Amino acid sequence: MNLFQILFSLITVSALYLLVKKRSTAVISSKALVTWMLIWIAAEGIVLFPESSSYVASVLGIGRGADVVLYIAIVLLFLLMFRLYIKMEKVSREVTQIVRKQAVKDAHKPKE
Amino acid sequence: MIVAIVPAYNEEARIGCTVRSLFGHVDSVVVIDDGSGDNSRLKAREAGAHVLHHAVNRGQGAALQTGHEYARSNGASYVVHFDGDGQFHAEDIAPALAALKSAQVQVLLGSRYLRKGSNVPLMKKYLVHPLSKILDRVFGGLKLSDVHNGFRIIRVDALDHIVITQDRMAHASQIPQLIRKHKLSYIEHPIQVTYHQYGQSVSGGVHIVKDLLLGKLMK
Repeated sequence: MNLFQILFSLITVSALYLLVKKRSTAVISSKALVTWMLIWIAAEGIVLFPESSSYVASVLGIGRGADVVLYIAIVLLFLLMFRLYIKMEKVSREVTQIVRKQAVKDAHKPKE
Repeated sequence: MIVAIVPAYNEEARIGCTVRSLFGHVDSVVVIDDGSGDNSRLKAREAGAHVLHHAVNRGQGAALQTGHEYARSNGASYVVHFDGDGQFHAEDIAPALAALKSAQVQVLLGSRYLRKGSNVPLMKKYLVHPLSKILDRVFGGLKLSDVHNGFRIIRVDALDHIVITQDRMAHASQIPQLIRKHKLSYIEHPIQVTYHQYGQSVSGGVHIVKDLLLGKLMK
């Protein structure tokens, strides 16, 4: 094992620990738990066995293993950002509803 | 009862004037102070408007929707959308309302182009407006001569369907979309617009496109 593999394994272990802990306090759903665990385990697998990504690359018809990792990472990041964007928009609409409710409520109060 | 809905965001210089100009043309003036950092609220109240206050800025679309809800619960029969910066003319309301009633439609949309009086900046006339027209066709709106005109009169029964969820400027595209979707009856009517400042910039347009796309995804 080289230094990077040791460091990455430590990060993976702590990430898995945090995920389980967050699930136990119901911060994340069980679906999110499984998804994130799979992502971390897959990443750990590629770091421990770098040649495995070359196998995936050859199956997909992509030149190098490192490129596959890069492409997948970009797609995942994009999806994640998109979901955050939608989520933010929803929160923004909820804020508007609260602000509106308060505005209408205050308007109906007798003037002091 | 005819209620003017006037969204105001940092409009202390013009809001008082706008409110005073409206009396005599409508029965009640509702100003929505959209989280202004200046004295808009005070000025509007001094001028005699009912003032609703958004604790934080939520955008013009959000302010209009707040006005709708307030007007409905206070027995309005028609609501008039009227900009707070003094670019519309209160004298346009009476003929517009008469036109709406005689045509027996639910919504009247103001248009700068159906009359000669408005002095529309060239950039707006030949670049911004044609582009926004194309955009509105793409997003399923109506064929209008002036899509993003903020002057509207809406009969209260149409407010069941015209529920603005586009908080920012994209509400101007959302309203025609809702009119089409719910098959509401409408007319366009010439009104005068006096420009004090430029209004929608190109980056504003980009934001509108973004909001419209998001709106499609969020249904």
